[in-house]
Amino acid sequence: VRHESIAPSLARLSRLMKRTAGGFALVRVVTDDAARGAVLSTLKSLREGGQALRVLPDGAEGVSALEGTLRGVDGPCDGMVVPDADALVSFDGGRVLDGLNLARDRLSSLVRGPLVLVLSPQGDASLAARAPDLRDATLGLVRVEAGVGAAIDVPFKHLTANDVEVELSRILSSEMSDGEAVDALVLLAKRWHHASQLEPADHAERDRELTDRIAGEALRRAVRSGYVRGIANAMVVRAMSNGRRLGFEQRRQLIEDAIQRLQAIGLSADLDLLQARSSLASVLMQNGHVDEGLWLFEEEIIPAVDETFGTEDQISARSILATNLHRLGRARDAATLTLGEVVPLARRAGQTREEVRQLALGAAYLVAAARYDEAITILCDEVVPKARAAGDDIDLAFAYANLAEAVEHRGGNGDLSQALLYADFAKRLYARSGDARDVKRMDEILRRLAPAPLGNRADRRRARFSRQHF
Amino acid sequence: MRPNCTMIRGMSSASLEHLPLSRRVLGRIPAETLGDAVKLCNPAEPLDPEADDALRVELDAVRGGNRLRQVVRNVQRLGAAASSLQFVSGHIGAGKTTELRRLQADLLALPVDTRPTVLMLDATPLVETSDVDLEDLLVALWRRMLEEEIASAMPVLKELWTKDAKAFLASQATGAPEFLRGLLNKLPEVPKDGLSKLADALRFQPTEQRKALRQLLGSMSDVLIRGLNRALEKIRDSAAGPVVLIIDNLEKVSATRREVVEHLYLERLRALLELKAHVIITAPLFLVYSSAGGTFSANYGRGVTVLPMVRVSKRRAEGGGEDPAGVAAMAEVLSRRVDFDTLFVDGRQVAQRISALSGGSIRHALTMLEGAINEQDEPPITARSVDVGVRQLQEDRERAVPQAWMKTLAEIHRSNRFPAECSAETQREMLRGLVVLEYQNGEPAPYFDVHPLIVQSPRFPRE
Repeated sequence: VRHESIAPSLARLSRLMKRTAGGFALVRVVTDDAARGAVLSTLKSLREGGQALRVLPDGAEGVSALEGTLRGVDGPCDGMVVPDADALVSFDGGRVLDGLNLARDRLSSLVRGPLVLVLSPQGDASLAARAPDLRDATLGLVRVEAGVGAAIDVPFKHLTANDVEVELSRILSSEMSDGEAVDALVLLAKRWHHASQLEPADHAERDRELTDRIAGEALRRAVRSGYVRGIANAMVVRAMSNGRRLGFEQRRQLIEDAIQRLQAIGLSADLDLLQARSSLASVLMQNGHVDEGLWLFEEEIIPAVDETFGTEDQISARSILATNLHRLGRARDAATLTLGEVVPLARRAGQTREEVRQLALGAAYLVAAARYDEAITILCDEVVPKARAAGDDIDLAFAYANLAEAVEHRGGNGDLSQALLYADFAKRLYARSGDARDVKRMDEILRRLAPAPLGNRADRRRARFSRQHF
Repeated sequence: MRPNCTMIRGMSSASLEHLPLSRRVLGRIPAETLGDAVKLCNPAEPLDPEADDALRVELDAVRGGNRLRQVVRNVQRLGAAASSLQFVSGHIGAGKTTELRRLQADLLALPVDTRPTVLMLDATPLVETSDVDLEDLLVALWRRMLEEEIASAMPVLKELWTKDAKAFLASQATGAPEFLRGLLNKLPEVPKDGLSKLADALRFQPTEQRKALRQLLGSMSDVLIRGLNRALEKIRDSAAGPVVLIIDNLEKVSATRREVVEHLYLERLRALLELKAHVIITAPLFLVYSSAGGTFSANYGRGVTVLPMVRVSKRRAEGGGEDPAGVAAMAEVLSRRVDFDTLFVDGRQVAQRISALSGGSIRHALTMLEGAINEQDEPPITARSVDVGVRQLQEDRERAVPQAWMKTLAEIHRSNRFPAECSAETQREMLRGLVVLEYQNGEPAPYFDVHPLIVQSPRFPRE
């Protein structure tokens, strides 16, 4: 994931690493989840003293490896990256962080190269509070915060603009009552709005016009027939799909108006009302009012949904929150929510297909947070076998596409050819299910992974294997 | 006889590969390339008193005098006949290690008839466990002396190891926990190896096992002290002056276990008064600013020598604002490392600006410089890049300051004092985090001011 906004920070990181090559330097890189993958790719691509920097594992394993280095039993070691330095604060009550803090003036005799701590903003604040002395011994501090997570694909067959136009014509020419037509139009507008969010910006802008056209028609019919719920729902869809044109205050105003209209007809524990509130919370979170939006989700929307509605809606409310967290660059939180709450909900309700999809989404968030090993474990051990057993090509394709990305970015020995294989699997599965959009996407990934045609014998064997199985 | 100067950083042989800072650059000093400039701005590196002389600047005048000179005088005047225990403290990054190395050089420059033998012990390997006690220090001092192989002391230490220490430890094996039995029964004959085994056990064993070993060593601490004293006597017999033991970096012992640290410094280290040497130990600054601070004088006969920040801001009573002498001295520190005229569009003005904003913390000044330099691929570094370097550190510092502190900080900035209602805990946190800095202008009483980067932040209350 590359964001133009973080390019200067990554360049600064590269310069810093280049200029400190050959000697010890303590470097703190503070990054949000959205930029973490790009940071780790940059660090992995750097060579220090002719050798690639050693990247320690995530979590406790990495902390233990660092502890071993601090003991200096095996003599000085080469420069290294601690990709999950937040774990230093949490591991064993911060014992290893204390050790690092105390050893700060001796590190140059233990590490013959840079020691790079990759931290989240929260982790950095905890480190500063617990080990201010270590913070002050930092030579380089680089903040790489994208603030916005890149769009994550969803494991559903994608709508095309043509599908939507056909459905729109069908609704408009049908003999439905105005109320029925409004509900159908709002539903179609919502589906298309969600689908268009996954497209590149220029494409999405054209798609938004279509959403707005559908929502506009719904609103016109709802006003004509005095259908208050329909008016409110159409207003919410317009607010959500017109982000650029309306601006934050107008969108907020539009949704608050819709909420008031729904409340005015006596609705309280109503799904439309809760969806409107969830749209308001999303708009707040996307426009810098993160705490306010989070509060709405956590204190009002999710408890109300849990109390009144079934598993499907409980999953839906949490999924929207997870999407928002990811968009804020907090993919790790999105993964925790998805894997920790949504997946168990689906599992308890016996909704196997939903469970697989949510596991796959959780893994995709982990990939976005550059926690490749955890994502790969979930995809290989749970998603692929379950999707294969269910015979669901879309879920399986989604799993392989994410596996390709995770394995490619992990960048271990043989990972590139493994990524090629997974991407090829995903492409064939998408093609089999008739999803042209994703076939095109996988083609782009395959071109990136293997600019030259597959040439050697091993590659040909893999390609043959892939053709035989998919 | 071996030279009476020892310059040891750490105890592992790996540390001997460590090059002085000024030898790690390819070009001239001050740095004329951005790569060299970044290397010379590494705030984690103390200066070597000889090899890095070109980088050193005399800062006594802007730190309220040479406070460590008092320590030298003390050693000189008390001489070999007496012993003393003295503590040195200071802010993070105030240059304690650099100043202690200079103290060592000053001691070795004394006239030959009073010139001491100086042993320097880096306590970092001990305090890394964040669980250190008197026994660990005694073992480390023994080991240090053996490693130094001072001819006069070696036979004494060897004899004492075999006859007293090792024999005593072996006698304790029966009835000791299993892991201790294994250790005590297999202690090597060679004293250096035996002490290394004990030191490693004190560092690497789990807490409970360390405690058991320490308890055992505690019962023979007088044996260890007696042994050290006999070795010290031998050294003094063969050299004219006293012996000075400098224990650096002990102040890094974890502040999160304050009661344990207080107990170590105020109670257990008193045993070192029995050593027939002048012992100089670094102490954590938070102890100086707690009720324990007064106890130092009561227990050891003298207070703690505190190294203040370079004085870049004046007392409010003297008009406040920047102190030109302090800023100029800091700018000189930076100019010794970086050739501003070659690498920066605005030349030495940048050094002045960064110095004023550093609050007198050399580390902060170096960090801001690094930030500015790494904004660009090629020189000259523009004013915009300097702004970025400053802003990065400012944001970093500001994040660590709770909003609740702002009113108190404004009061400190106005009065150069902590207000009475500010709790001791908050004071310590403010000083430890370098949010508030301590300055000296030659008078005994220090004054305090808020870090300039915090004062400049939009969150700081305006007068």
